[in-house]
Amino acid sequence: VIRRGAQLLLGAGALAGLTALYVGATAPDIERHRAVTARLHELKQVDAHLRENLLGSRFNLLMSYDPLVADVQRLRDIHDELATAGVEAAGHDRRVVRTTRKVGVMLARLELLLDDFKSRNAILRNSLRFFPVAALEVDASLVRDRVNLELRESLNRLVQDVLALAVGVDKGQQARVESIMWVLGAERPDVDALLAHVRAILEQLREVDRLLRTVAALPTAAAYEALDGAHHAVYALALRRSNLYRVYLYGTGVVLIACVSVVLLRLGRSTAALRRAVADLQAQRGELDALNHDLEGRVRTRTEETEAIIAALSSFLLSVDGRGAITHWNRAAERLFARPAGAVIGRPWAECGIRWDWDTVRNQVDRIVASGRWGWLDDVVYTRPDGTMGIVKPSLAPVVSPDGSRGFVMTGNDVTEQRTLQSQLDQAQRLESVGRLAAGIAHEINTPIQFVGDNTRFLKDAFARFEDMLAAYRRYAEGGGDAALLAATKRAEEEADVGYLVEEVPKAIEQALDGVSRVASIVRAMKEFAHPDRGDKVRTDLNQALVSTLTVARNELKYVADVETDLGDLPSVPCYVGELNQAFLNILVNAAHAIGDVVQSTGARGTIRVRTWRDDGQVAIAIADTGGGIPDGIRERIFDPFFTTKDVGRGTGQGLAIARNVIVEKHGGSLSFETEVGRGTTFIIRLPVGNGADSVMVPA
Amino acid sequence: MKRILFVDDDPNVLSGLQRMLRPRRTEWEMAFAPGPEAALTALSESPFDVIVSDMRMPGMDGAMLLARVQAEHPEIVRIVLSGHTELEAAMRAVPVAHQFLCKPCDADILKAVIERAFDLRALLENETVRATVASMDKLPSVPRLYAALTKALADPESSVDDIATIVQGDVGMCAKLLHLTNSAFFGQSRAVTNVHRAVALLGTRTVKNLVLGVEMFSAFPGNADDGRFFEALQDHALRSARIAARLLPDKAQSDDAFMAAMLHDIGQLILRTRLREPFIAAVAEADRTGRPLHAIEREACGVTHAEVGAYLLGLWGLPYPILQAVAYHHAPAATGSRGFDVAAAVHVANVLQHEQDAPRTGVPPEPFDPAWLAALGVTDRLPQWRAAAEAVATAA
Repeated sequence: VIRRGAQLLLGAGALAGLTALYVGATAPDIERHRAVTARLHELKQVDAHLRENLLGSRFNLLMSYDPLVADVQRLRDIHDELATAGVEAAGHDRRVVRTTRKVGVMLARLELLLDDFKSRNAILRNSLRFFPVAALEVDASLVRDRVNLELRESLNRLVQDVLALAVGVDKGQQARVESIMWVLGAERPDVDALLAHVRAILEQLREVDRLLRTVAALPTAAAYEALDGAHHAVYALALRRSNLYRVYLYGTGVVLIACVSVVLLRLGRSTAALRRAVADLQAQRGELDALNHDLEGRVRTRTEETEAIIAALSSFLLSVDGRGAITHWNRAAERLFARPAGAVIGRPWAECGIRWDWDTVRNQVDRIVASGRWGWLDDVVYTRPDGTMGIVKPSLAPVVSPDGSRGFVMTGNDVTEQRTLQSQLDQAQRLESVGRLAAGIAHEINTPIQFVGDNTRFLKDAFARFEDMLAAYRRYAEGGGDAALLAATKRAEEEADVGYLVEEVPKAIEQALDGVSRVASIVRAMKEFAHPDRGDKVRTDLNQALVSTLTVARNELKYVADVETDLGDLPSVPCYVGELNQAFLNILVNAAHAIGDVVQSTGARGTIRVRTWRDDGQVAIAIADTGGGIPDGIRERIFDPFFTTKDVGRGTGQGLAIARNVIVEKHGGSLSFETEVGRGTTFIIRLPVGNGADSVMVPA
Repeated sequence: MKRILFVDDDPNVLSGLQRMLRPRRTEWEMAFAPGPEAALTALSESPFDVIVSDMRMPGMDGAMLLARVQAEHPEIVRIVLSGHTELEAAMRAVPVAHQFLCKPCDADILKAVIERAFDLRALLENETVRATVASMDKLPSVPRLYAALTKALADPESSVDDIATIVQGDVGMCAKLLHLTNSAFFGQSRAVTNVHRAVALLGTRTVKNLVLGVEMFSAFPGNADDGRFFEALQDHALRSARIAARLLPDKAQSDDAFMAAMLHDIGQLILRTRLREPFIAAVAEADRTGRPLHAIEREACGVTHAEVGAYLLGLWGLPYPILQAVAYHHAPAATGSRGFDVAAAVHVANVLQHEQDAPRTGVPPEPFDPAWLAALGVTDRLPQWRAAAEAVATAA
């Protein structure tokens, strides 16, 4: 559901995106833009026309103000249009709105200025119309009063100058008008009306000119341009944006086409696969029908085959159902136990006639059947048909019948020969290591025998001399203190070298005894070392075992290393002591070789430390050497059989592999090592102490 | 006073020896060194005649110690007394020791071996020559035979007989092989003088190790003249040996005679390699004047090749009859023997062989001493011997 929802959302999103892209890609409305541009153009034209008319009305070229009013009205209309339709066309662009408003403000200002202009210009026109009339009246009065000609000329000039000023000419006329007015005012009191006209004209002229200048200075053109520019910018932007969207739209289109192609392709393939699957299904269905048809026959054949295989097995096989009755009894079983199948099948299996220790076998069978898992029985001694004893090693597979009762299948072989060979092989391996040590042991024995012999020889000589002396003493004793005989005893003592003898004989005896005990101890150690293991594990003092092994290996070790022992208080450990001795020996010999490689012929000596301690239900033995350590690259391989770094003849590469097998496989212990290149290696052996219920204490 | 140095790392062994040998203190001056370093110090402080050393000692072992003694004090007779019984130990000692004894060593044997080392000195009065001979650790072999031997050893098909036949043809190899097999390592009750038996005893693997590993045998490195000389010497030795073997009916004596005759001129080998210039001059003079070589040697070198050869073989522990035969092969009467023994057979075989060669070499053979023949009562057997010699010559 979540996935379906996600897919729907994805589709909707894609659709919305596409629509947005499409909308964005539509081109801005060119007609509207053109209309706006036309309005703007017209605005500029009307503005120009207005200014022309304004000048015309100033200089009386325009008699009516109507054109001006019409122009202003037109400007206002265009502006209003731009403020509505134009702004809308620009999408209410801020710059367009601002510039449009600025144009509106400008137009309002223009309207105000024009109103002012109109009123002032009307006053001016009026004054200019009445001024010549007033001048004519003054002239008439001048003529009438026969005032001098000079004054009349001044008046005439005043009229001329004022009219010149009125059409915008000022070449000193302004100043002259002021002086004439002052003269006339002083000479004639009846000229006030005329002068008032002049003053009004001059004032209105100034004002009108100021207004015209103001209008002229109004930055209408700039405002229009700004508006035009804003519109243009908006349009150009819209145009660019729509182009961009178009590009996006095209790109998306291409991607979409690709996706659709892929989808179509896969669709085509899956359709083909579907079609094939359907075809296969139909074919299989056909086969299934055929197989079904054949199955019963096959089951029959297979059952026969299975029976044949069971019969042909070289191992004996018997099966017992949930009620304890024998259901299978193969040919090997017939042969091994001398009972024909016909005589036992269907009968309780306890009555099948095999001659072995039924209590033990039944116990183990019950245990394995109860566990529900396949398992081995321990070796079972049975009596063969010919009366000899043999060993079988049965394995048991519990079988649950459809009714829930538990039976089993038992298979096995006569392993008597194998077991015999195995024990011979173990013994042979140990003898081999003894043989390897034999030369060293011979040396260890030969050396003490040498000095035992020498000392004994010396004692023999010494005793002969003592006898000579004794004879002299006797003669002296019998001779009753004869001085000549006393001198003879002295001489006999000198000849016998008695001082030397007295000093050396005790030492000779001591050293001879020492030699004898050395030989005795090595012989004893050899006996212990080669102790043959029989059947069960035996509780053993491992410290004693280590001492024996060290004694046997003494000759291998003593020329390269000092042996230090730190043997802790250990509980006896159930073990095959002969095999453990061999494991210790292999590790010790390795240690000696490791040290030998380092000290070579430098005369230096290493140290082998043997330490034992009790450690949490285990006995731990550490054998440390000061050899070269084990290089990084081979640490994982040292326990591999036949792996060796030693020269040919010095090691077969079996030593550590055997040690590991003995300690780990046969005793459930562990063999680990710590090593540092250049510093040495420590092997650590850990053996479980066990509860001791199944073994007996025997001295090592 | 004869000076002996005992070396062993086990102090008990030293004190045992010291006590056991105390009765000898009037004839022998004995020193006891508890290790190789102490031994070298003792050697540098005073002269010794014999050194008896253990093999396996911490630091420097016996073989290394004796090698140094060989280099620094060649005149000292070197004896190994080792608790090791395996062949490898013997192999290591072969190049450096004159004699090998095994612990436990019977006191009488130890004394006898040491005595013998002193007795041998009577053969060679000249101490310089003694040192020269004692320093010889191997004898050169004829290159041809050496090559044949290495080839035979490399061939897994080779039998003991194949190898023994090659060794038997070479004086140096014979001597060295007997040196090893007559050492106490093999605990032989009777001395071995038969090469086939010696090779069978050692085994071809050990022989191979001797040749290729320890390089106990080596090809003679001299020039073409030396080559010719050695070939002729070998040829003469082998022919004499075959004749000598026929002169004695008893199998054991016949073996001894063969070996003694084979080795009788071994001294010439030694002189040719160690006292080269005077010896070559002596041989040249003998050829020119026709005088016996041993007489000229005595004048030129102060010793004869018979004495030199016997001395070395004695150092190497070869059995006494062979030594005697080698030492007196020019003057059998000097042995004082009243019967026709090995020494007599070697003398006769030597003369007969020279007689056979005389027409070819132009060197007149030494005539038999009629008085000696008469004393032994064998004058009438001369024709018989000549026939035997002829038979050997034609058989070869």
